[in-house]
Amino acid sequence: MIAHDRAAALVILAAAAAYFLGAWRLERPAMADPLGPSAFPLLLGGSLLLLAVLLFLFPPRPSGEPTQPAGAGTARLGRPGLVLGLLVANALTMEWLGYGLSTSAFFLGALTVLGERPWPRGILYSLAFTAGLYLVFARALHLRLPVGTLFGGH
Amino acid sequence: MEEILGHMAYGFSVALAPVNLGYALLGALVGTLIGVLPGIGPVSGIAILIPILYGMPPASAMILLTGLYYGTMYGGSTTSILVNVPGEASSVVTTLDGYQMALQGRGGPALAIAAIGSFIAGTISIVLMMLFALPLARLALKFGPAEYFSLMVLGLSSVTSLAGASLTKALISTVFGLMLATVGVDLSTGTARYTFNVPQLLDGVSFIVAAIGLFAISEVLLAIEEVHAGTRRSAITVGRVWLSWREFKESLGAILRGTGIGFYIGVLPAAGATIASFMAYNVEKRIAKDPDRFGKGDIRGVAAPESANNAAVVGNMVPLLSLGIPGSSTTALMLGALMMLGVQPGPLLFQKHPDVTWGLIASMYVSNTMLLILNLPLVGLWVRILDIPERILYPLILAISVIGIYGVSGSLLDLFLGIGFGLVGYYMRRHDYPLAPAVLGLVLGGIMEQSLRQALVLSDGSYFTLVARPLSLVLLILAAFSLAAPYLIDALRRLRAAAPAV
Repeated sequence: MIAHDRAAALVILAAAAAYFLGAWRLERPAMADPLGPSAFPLLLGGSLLLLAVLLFLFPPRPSGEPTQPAGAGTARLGRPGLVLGLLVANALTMEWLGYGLSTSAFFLGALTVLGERPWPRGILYSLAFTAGLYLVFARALHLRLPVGTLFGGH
Repeated sequence: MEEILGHMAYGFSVALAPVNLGYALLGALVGTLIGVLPGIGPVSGIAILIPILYGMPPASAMILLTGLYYGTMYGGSTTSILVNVPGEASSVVTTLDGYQMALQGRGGPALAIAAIGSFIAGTISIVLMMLFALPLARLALKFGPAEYFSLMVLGLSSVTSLAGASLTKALISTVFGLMLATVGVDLSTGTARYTFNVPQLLDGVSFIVAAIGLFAISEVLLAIEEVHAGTRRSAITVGRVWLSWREFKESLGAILRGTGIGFYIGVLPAAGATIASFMAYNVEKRIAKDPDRFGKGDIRGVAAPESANNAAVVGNMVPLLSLGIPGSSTTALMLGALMMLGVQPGPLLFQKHPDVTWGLIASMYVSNTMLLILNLPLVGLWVRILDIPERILYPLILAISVIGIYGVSGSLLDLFLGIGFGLVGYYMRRHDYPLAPAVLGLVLGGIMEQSLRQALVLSDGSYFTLVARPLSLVLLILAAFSLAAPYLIDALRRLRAAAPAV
């Protein structure tokens, strides 16, 4: 845990440095208030640099929770990883396949990953959820959902 | 007092308008549903529903959100009592005696006292709130930009100090949120900051995207690590949801004390419903003549925390409405929603948007009454909702998150940002970085920077103004104190523990 926090501190340090540099490089307009657009970001970037150093030097002691057995970590990450992949696929195909296909495919995938069996029932659920959410959000609440360029939408 | 009555009459005319009654009812029902559903907390539930507020009149939106917030409280206590699964942190204590009562076949009285205690606590604290909020807002009207900046510092630091195990990590989360707020066009000079030449980023990071990603998507990603096969079926029989006069008399003291503690804690920035419920329970146990009955199904152990967390919800509204400073994740979401709808929160809210403030206050009475009437007969229905398997629930929440983000902005970039926030939130949850400060930072960051810059315009660029103005100095000292408080308390405890040994 401590080693992990140290590694995280290095990543945060790099991000803070990049943010700080970004603020440093901001153009200072001729007509500006005394602080200008870069002072507040510089303050924030500086604070994060300091905090990252603190996290590296004094990583918090692990709390009293039971530690996971070695190796369990990566196995447990499998399912969230798969679902995250499905979510990204859902986003990637949303405008191309349209809401209907993209979302029902997401449902079918996620239900299967989470253990819904047998899969024909999963298909039934997927179609029903996709249609139900469409009725609630697009019809009743007027949110815009894409038809899909594949079907001539835009 | 007469003035307040006049305002209240106006508030009720807003809250009792048929449309708004409808929103209050919808909020109460959906809120209870969210509170009851396993695996999704009230903050995530409210976050995924913010997109539907888009384009609504601000008063109606706030009434809907208040109903939701209240509903999650009621729903959360139902699952605490019946299945020993607290729907949220603020009803964790309720499980101690509530579940014991349910096991003894007294689930009905436990649910009844939770609802009635919440109702009484809510009603009393709304009166207290009306008495406090307006004077506080008037005091805040004297604030200049320097005081306002210091107030933001106080708001952020008190949320940060209570947020998690490690102060460093909580501060990192706060700064992360403030950094997100700097993305986009700088309002006073027109300079584009951190937009990487992406036109959609000129408007900044959308609050909806960040809230849904950080709270809802990350919560589901974390939860699916541990989805179990089957359902967590409860074998508890509820029985008749009512209680005897004797049980009521026994709990009345606990309800009133819980209300006082809850409201007081709720008004303090950052110390929210969870702390209030723990404190109320402990006080009850300490003053009881028979403390050993607590934890074994004592009705006071349900009445006190349930009253306290409801009173704290109302107390939380005081700084939100009068100062524009949210004290919890949920009120931060409400504040963000208000800003999204074009309402600038702060001391002027009472004057500029009386329909929002007084309508909201009146709608708290309405929601309270609705929930009392709804919950007692509908408990059987809510219990059945617990049987919805998690493997079905989680994909639904993710799909609603995606629809909400895309449906409001129509932007794929926002969708990917939202998923990215989900990933960041997942990491933060796993490694003890509190999420509330980040969202609060994003919500308050813009106003905070603007007030700092205005203050320095007035002082010709001297930071000294922040400590030279007495009110601002007091606020900053309070902020420093709130960050140091956990350490001071720790040090005091160690001193006291060491003393007898000497």
